[in-house]
Amino acid sequence: MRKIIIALAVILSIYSISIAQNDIQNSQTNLDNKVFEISKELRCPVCVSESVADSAAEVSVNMRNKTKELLEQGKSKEEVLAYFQERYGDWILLNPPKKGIYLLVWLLPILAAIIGIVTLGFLVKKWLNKTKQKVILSQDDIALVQKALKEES
Amino acid sequence: MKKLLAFVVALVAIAGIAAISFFGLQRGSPDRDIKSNLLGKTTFDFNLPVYERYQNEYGPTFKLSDYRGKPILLNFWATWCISCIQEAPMLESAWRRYKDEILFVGVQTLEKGKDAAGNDFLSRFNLTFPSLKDTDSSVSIDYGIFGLPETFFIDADGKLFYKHAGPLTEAIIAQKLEEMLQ
Repeated sequence: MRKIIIALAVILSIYSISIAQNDIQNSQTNLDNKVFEISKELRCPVCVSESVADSAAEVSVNMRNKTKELLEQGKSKEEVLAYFQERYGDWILLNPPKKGIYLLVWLLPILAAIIGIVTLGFLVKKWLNKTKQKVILSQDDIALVQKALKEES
Repeated sequence: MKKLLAFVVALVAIAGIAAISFFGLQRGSPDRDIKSNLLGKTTFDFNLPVYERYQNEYGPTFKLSDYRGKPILLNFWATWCISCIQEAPMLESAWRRYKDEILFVGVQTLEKGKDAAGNDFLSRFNLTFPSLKDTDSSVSIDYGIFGLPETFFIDADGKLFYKHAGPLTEAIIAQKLEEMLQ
């Protein structure tokens, strides 16, 4: 009986340890994923159009470490982005903020799409109106068509 | 009338695309003199280890806020940075000229574990103003460094007066110092 209890205790301990390990691994993976997600939105300061997530530059590595550190302190994604924005300005954000001059970047494509759709609609309408117009044929035209049909038959 | 309208629409569309492209190119370029977000604001404090050769005068660590009351020229450098090498002799000569009015402070950054190379750099140019080690580049992030060298002119109240990207000249130092002390 004593042996069974010891064996059960050992199994239970191993099981608990493996659950704890899984939990740690999962939380680490979640943290890494979050760091990657945020780094994707940050511009590498010393690269050309590359995100902090994609860059191997030392400053990007340090920014990823800083992001991890801030997340571990309990900061939200917005707070982490604001941290870098405060130091580098709006330039550091790969997605420009939806305010001020940056609104143009978001609004102009929508405006261009609306203008495009309206122009296309206008042109299609014009084309349809043209096709609806009655075709007035002269006697000469009719004779020419009839002659062509006769020749064909 | 319709033709004129079509022309205006096309013109607006082309201007819009050109503006977006220009804006995009501006944002993509890393080597521009990007205005610091800290201008006019109190700069971030730091406490960094001092290179051994300066420790007699400045102690083992240098805390920026301990030097409030005197303007500071904060110069970020690295041994791999060619412009920093070009700039170093001029910084030393400017430091000797202006040391009564402004404290020059060098910060080696964006290179981990390069103390020996840093020491060689300081010896090569016989730099007598204190240099610090930003070993984890955290101060470079705090100051929003885009490239090296970058220099920050901090006024006596600890506020950022001017940021210069790229190598400095003595003329720029003289001009900015004069403007800052006014």
